[in-house]
Order: sequence, then C-alpha cells, then structure tokens
Amino acid sequence: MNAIALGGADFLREHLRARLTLALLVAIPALFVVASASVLGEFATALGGSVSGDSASALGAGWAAAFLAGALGFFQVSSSREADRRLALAGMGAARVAVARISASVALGVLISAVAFLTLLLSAGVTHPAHAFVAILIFALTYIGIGTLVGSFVSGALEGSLTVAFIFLIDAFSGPGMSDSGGIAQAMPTRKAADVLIDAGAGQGSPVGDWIAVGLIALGALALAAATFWLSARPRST
Amino acid sequence: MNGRASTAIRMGFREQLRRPLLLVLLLALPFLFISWSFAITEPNPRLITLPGGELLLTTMRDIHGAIMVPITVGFLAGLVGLFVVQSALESDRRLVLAGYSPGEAIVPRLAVMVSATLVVLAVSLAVTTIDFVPDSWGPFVAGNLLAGLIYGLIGALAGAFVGRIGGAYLMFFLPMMDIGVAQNPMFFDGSPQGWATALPGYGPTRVLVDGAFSQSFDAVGPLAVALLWLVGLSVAVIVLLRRSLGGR
Repeated sequence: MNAIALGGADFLREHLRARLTLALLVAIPALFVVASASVLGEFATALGGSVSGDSASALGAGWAAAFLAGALGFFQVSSSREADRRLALAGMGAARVAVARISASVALGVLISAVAFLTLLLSAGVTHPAHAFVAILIFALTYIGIGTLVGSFVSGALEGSLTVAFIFLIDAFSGPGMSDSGGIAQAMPTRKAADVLIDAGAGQGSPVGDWIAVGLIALGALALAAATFWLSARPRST
Repeated sequence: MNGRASTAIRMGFREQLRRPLLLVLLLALPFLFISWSFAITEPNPRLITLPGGELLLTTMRDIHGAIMVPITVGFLAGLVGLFVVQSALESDRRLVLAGYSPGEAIVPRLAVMVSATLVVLAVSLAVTTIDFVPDSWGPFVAGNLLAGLIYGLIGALAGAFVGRIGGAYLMFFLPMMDIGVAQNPMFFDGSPQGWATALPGYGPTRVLVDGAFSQSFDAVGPLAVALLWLVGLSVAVIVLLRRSLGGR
C-alpha cells in the first residue's frame, strides 16, 4: 500500500512538475466555464436543443472537465509506457503501477472538476451543488477512461490528441440539450452525466436510474483505465 | 535552397507520410467537423454586423458552417505546430551539431507545419462548398489561411514554453474559445465584443466573415491586424528555435 501511495504521489508530481501545467489545469476550466456560460444556451438553440440558462452553464463545466481529463488520460499512458514497464520489472509489479497511475489520474480529475465546479458555483450558482459536482466528476472520470484507451492504441502524441478531441466534439455536439439527435447520440459516453448535470443546473433532482447509469459508467471508465495501465506496465516475455 | 535544406525538407515530409493515422485524421476530421456542423444546425435567422458596419440577415446554419472552417483549421494547425516544434526541440540540435545551420534545421519544420495547414484548409474549404458558398472566395480563403498559420505558430510557442502536455491543454482550449466563442457572429450581438479584438483570432475571423457574407472587401483593418500577428509570431518562433538549436 505504501508503494502505491508513494508511486501515486510521484506520478502526480511528475505531471505537475512544470508549474505552468498546474496553472493551466486551474485556469483553463475556470475560463472555459465563464466564457461558455454566456453563449451555450444560444448555441444549443442554434442546434435545435433545449438547454438554456443555468443548465447550459452547468453543461459547460462538465465539458471543461471532460476535454482536459481526456488529454490527461491520453498523456498518462502515452508518455509513461516505457517507464512504467521498468518500474514493474524493478519490483513494483504491474498491478501496483496501474493502481498508482489511476490514483494520480483520479486526483488530477478531482482537481479539474473542483475548479470547474467552483467557477460554476461562483459565476452562476447551483441549486443542487452536490449533484452538480458529482456529475462534473463523472465527466472527468469518463474521459480519463477514454483518454487512456486512446493512449493504449495510439502512440503518437498528435494523433492521440486529435482522436481524443474528435471523440469529445462528437460527444458534446450530440449530447442532451444540444442537437438531441437520436441513434448514435444515445450511445455517447457522457449522455447520462449530462442529463444529471442539466437537471442539477435547473434545480431538479435526477431519477435513480440515471444515478445508477452514471455510477456504472464511471466504474467502467476507471476499470478500463486501470486495465490499460496494467497492460502498459506488464512485462513482455522475450 | 541548398542541398542539405532540401534533404531535410524531404525527410521531414517522409517522416509525416510514415504516420498513416495522422494523414487520415488530418483529412477526416475537417470533413466530419464541418459537415456535422451543417447537418445539426437549424437555419434560424440571425442578424450580424459585417466589418464595414453593414447589418446582414443570414442564418445560424450558414454562420456555423463558415466559422467551423477557421475553428477546425486553427485547432488542427495549432496541434501540428505544437508537436512539430516539440519534435524539433528534441532532435534537431543533433543536426546542428552535425553541421547544419539553425536556419537549415528550422525551415523543414516550418515547411511541414505550413503544408499540414494547407492540407487541412483545402479539405475544409472543399467540404464547406457542399453546403455553403462564400460571396468572395479571396478574403474567405485568406482569413482561414491566416487563422491556421497564426494558430500553428501559437502551438509552436506553446510547446516551447509550457511543454507537450501543457501545450496540448492550451491548444484544446484556445482556438475553441477565441474563434469559436469570442469572434463567433453566432453569439453576442453578431460581432466581436471589445475585449475580443485583442485576441489572435480577431483579424482572420473578421476577414473571412467579410468574405463569407459580402462581395466588397471592407476588412482592411482586421487584415492588417492579422498580418501583424502573423509576422510577430513568425519572428518569435524563428528566434526561439534558433536559440534552442544553438544559433546566434
């Protein structure tokens, strides 16, 4: 357990070693929430969606957490593959490396979500703050899973970043309250989290079924990320 | 151009051609982003202000389609600029140690960045014409090209100053917020607010909006602003790369 905690703290320190990276992780969600708050309702109307007012602002906080977490998840895998394998071979073991990596990723996801949530709270106010925070965190966790999955298949930083951005934009544009299109939009990864977030922004609770769905999606994303980290760190037979 | 520089340029392009996924993404993403934007946007009426001050009634669908071109080009060029310069900072110092001048090492990187921008721009314009034809092609193309080049150079600087990961965070955010929100005639009163004129996307976006919706050219001021950004950023990137590669 000690090795996992130590590894997780080191991975966190590695990611935040550049002070500017930490500054960006705080500034970008805050700026995104403030800038998008005034326009998301209008944008949704243009797409034939129905989300407006505080619900639209809340959705912006979820998106801010999602796109940063996606990039974060991708770089956690792509930039650490070789180092993690050496750590595992040196005695830490692939499972402990994976748990330490996932702990660091979740800690960063909580940081991004907290900044987005606090900005939302201060700029627009939220009637159901606990619901809103959990929904924003689910956005982040879901995209950590997506980012790590992309990182496991795509090794190039440019290609991986573009793939994460592509998934995010399709997800965001087709989400609830935006174009509201059927078919593929129903299968988008943050659809249920967006439902919960929109409800929280509008001052309403969400049905139990939605909470079960977002819980399962978050668990699935974390399991996916953990499996990806484990596969990356696992020593290869020669 | 001497033989060493042309060899380096050839090798730079060969390196990119060995990345089939990158080529697929640079061709497919503009197509998907722009055609998807046209498909999902309602043709609601929208009053916008053109650079000459003229008010024009158009539709949200046309504006969204037109504005998705610089968002897409700026976003993709920004990420290309970021990672191309990161790659230069990691490996081109060896070329300089082996006898190349910093200029001979920098030119191939910039050539790759500009070429990627042109490819994305060409695909974006081709896709746009399926649903929307600008009133004046010249300013529309020029505005989009300027947006791509400016954001390519911003990506290059971001990579040098905040690193690969910080640069990626920044380039995910900046083109979307600048061109997609601050300069976007879909929002506010149909023209950029005062604070938006200080952002790099202001000049290119006003030029292309003029081209998209007007047959006369009234965006001389924004064009000059865009060119100033382009020259300033080009100088900054070249100085930075020369210093990083050991030049004087």
